[in-house]
Amino acid sequence: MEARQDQAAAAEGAAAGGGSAPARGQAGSTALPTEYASAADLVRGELGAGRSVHLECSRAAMRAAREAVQEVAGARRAAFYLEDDGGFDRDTVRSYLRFFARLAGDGAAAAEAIDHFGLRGRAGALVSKLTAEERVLLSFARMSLFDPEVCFCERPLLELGPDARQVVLGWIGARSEAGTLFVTCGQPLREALLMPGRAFWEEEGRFLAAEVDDADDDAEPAFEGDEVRVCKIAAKAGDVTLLLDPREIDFIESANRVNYASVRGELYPTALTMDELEGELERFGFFRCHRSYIVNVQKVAKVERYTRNTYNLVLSDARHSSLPLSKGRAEEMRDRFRWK
Amino acid sequence: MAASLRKLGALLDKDARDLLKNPTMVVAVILPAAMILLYHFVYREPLAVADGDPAVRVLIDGLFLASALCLSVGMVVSMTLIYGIAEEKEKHTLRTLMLANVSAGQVALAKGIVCLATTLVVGALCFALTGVGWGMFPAFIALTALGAVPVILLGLVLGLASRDQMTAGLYGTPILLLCLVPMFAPIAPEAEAVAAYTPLGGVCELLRLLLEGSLTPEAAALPLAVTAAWIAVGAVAFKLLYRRLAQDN
Repeated sequence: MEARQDQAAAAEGAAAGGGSAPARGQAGSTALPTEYASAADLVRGELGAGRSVHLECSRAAMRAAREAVQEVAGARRAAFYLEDDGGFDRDTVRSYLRFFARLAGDGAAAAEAIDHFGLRGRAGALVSKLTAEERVLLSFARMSLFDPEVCFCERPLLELGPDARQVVLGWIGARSEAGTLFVTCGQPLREALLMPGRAFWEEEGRFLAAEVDDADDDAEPAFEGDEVRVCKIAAKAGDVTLLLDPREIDFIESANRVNYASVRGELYPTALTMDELEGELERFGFFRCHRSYIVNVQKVAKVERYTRNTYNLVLSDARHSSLPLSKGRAEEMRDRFRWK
Repeated sequence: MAASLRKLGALLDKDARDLLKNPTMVVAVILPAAMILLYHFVYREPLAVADGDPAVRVLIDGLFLASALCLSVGMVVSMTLIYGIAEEKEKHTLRTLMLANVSAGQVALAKGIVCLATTLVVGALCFALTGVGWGMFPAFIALTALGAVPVILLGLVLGLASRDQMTAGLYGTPILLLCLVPMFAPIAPEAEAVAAYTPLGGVCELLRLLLEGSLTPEAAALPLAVTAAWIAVGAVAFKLLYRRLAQDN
């Protein structure tokens, strides 16, 4: 335990040496590193400190992160999912997983993995005949066989529909609770924020921590009831300024220092700040579910919880988007909308 | 150690099963066997003469056995081993294995063993089709195994060097041609001059000496030295390059 704390302190020291500077939303007293000079530094720093980390980053950074994970994992059990993982085409799902189960030392675990990842109906199918979503599930089933201590995934949710996403996020949540450290790369920040651990985004080769949610740092504007008034949200689409009806907006996302309104699966940048948007939209049934997200509560189909601290809101929009719900705001949301 | 053996066992099982499902394997078996059958038609007249002339019989048996050996080793290594590894690189399954804590050495050892076993099975089938007496079979199969070793080592290096199956075709062709040279030694003096120094030249020469009944330690020295030299070349090339070549594309 002491060694682990030393390792954590050393890793955070390394991050500071790597040029860390306060980024937006720095968590005050805990003083976690909020900026890293490279993907490799980030992985070394965060994994070394025993924290899972999720990156919105370029392809080159994904590779650097993967190599750093290999280096940091060392002799620990590690499992990797790379987005272009092929699979042995002439194998079936069952024979493929049995092979990796034998490599992992537990031949019987294959059947359990097939069931857990919902591949029972496809167990006899050739790997070459699987859909993109099934291939991802197969890769996660393969990783699960190794009982990994460290897990690296490239764009883990990219090909997944709502059900498969729930299975994968559920597994990540359960493994995370059991102590597995995750490094995921290449996904949009919104998806990075769904994972247990910290999220970072890349800007000109540097990695900045996504805004850390701190429910106490801002005074929340008082909810003023259901008064209705005319309101349009100005957003850009090329050279055209769109005036969006709040009811059309699924959610607001803040990413890379730009705020976007999501309408029917498309993101439109808006010049309004998150606080201004929150103030305007609150009366239309919107809720600030995370520092970087404001959700149209009418569009929320379900609330999912994968770990003690991880909540997701799944929307009924065109893309069945998943948004992070901060732990501190989950209670407030329940109270405001009188959910039991 | 137990974990290494377990992984090797799993890899052997996977490679063997995959080979049986691989259509390329059918070609690697059918082509040498079909060539030996074709020889029976091509050499119809010499075969008829050989029935009454022991000297011609030795020549014809030597031709058939050298062909069986060269075709088995050349076709199986170039078509299953080099293509097989290249396919794994192309589809990133080699990388998946490496990231699952399987070493490049374990992958190569498993593929080499399966390739050697396949070569011997194809060699045995070809031998049966030559019509040569079964008394020669133990020596034939032993020399096939010995000759296959350097070719497999080179095949592993070339397979790992291939980025994809297209490149494997490019790299596999010289190996195949090099293996087939001793086939033509009995009928082409030009081939005979270089055949003795090719990877399979040594074992084919030993086979000929056995058939002629003139296998002595002195006569066997050069062919054995040539074979040993090729094994050394293959082993050194493999040792030096396999880690570097087993990288991700």
